[in-house]
Amino acid sequence: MDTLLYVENLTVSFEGFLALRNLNLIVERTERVRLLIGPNGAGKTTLFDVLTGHVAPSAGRVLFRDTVNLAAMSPHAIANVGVIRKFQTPSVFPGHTVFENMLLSAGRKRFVSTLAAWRAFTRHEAIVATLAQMGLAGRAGDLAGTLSHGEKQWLEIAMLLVDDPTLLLLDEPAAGMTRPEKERTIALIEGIVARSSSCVMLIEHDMEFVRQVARRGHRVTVLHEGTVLSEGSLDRVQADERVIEAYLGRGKVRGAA
Amino acid sequence: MTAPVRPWDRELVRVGLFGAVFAVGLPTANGLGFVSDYYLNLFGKYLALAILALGMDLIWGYTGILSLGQAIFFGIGAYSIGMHMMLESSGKGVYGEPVPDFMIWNQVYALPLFWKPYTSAVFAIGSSLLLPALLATVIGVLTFRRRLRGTYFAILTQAIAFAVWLMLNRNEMKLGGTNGLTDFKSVLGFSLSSPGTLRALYVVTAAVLVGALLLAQAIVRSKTGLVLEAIRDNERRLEFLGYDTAGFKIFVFAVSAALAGLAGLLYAPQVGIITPSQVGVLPSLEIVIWVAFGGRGTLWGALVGAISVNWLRSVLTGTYPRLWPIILGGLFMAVILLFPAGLIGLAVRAKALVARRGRAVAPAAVAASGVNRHTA
Repeated sequence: MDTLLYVENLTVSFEGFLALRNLNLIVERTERVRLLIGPNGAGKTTLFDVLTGHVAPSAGRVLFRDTVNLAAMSPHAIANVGVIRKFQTPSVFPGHTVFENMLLSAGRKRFVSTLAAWRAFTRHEAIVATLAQMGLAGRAGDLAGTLSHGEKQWLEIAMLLVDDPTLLLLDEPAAGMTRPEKERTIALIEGIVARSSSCVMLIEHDMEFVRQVARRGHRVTVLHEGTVLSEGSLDRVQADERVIEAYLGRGKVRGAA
Repeated sequence: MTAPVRPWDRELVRVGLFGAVFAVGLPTANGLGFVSDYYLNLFGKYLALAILALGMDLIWGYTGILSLGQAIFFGIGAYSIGMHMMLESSGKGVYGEPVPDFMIWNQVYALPLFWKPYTSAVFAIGSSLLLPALLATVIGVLTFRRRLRGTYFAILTQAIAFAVWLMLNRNEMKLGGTNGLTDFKSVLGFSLSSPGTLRALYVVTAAVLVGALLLAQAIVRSKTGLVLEAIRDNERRLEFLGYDTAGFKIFVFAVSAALAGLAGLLYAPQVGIITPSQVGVLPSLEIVIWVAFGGRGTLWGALVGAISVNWLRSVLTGTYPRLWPIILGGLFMAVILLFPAGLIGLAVRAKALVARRGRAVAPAAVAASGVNRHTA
């Protein structure tokens, strides 16, 4: 009843290779941020691919708000129920201005309503406010292709935020960023939590970044070889023997702890 | 803050200038005797083909979908009005029969059923616009809804163009076979041997081109236009934002097909003949070359490309008819290798170069101070 996302026995097979195996995951409606970590190949991005209709599961159930079966829907339909994702590499429209990128992301997406809207571009206030929130207000008229890597990441997040999504999936939002840019991204995510009602699911490799986001008490889920290895507060999962085992040789969890 | 949306005003001025020169200036010059009837008619043909190029630019230049079947739609438009013109003059032919002369040669003495509606001019004009749009919609639904894209779509449309060409060449189709439709006497009651009719056809063509250009400009400046360009640049992002891109692609394909049909409708009466050789694979490819040569994704590039390449063809096929295919191929290779943004891209670059020359002193000073800072 209060479940935002219910994933049961999810299995994804790529020609015999099991990217996800019997994965179970529940995200409550009251949760604001859920962090997903795990070594490379743990299945984090594949999980996002299933949630957004990019990859069809071979078995299992994915329910959004108890009733919506995401596994049976196409990517555009899933985005329209409020589950929306940021890709690992910044994915914006380089030939459009920053403002046009936002116009494309705001409002109704159906062909008939888009054609009927013609040149009546709507939701200006929301767009201006979101750009200001992401620190891009001054770049509205610039081509998105001319933005720096970090600015492109923020623009993509702004594009997803403008329509108040229910579940925002961020795949490595800080990848390739400088330290100051990462600090700013953390502040932006905290701003999203403070200002909107969206739930953020976040994949990240940078343990320093994870620790800073998780210090507010958000839950961390550790994936390994396509299934959930551990879940709880960051302190708890970092102390988990099995997590240390999985990361052994990578030194990430230990090094950051 | 006002939205930095693509502006109209300067574009309207340019379209107005274009209209003034081609729809008013040229016919006036013809009336005053400065431009011969022959050249006016020639330009009427180029302007009709420019409408065809506009449609190609919308689907290929803006949306990034390579359709290699645009000549089919052009052919539908040309054959539609061609059939009407044949029926207008039937009974006035050599044999005095109520069917077009070529049917007599094939021992057809009664008008085939599908020809009958074309006695109506309204039906013929409607069919030249709506039939291409309808066919494009059907092809679009079958392909884009099934997520067939890129090269597969290009090859499919090319295969359809080839099939249509093969069919039109057969006498059993009752569309004149390889000879096509020709020997038109009049259009909408006006004799085609009178210079006045040809002048009027030219003015109508130029006006329709201006209208088509305004429509295309309006589309690319609308929210739908933003979506079309986004399909070209990053279709995946668009789908994951919530757009079902198939509807948009079907729309732009249908619009480009209707424009191609419109081009055919205006072309056939001015040129006086339409044959299968203008409907197949090669003419479809040629349209791609016009748009690439002028500069894809700019609309003006499509106009410039269609007019300049066809003008070049008129000049060169007179003197070096055998060299023309080689020159056309060479043009295409030159565009790909040397100036991928086409003539419009070259013009933009030249303009930027001139602007930079004008400011050259200032950057030089900055560079010099930079050097000083490093050496100091």
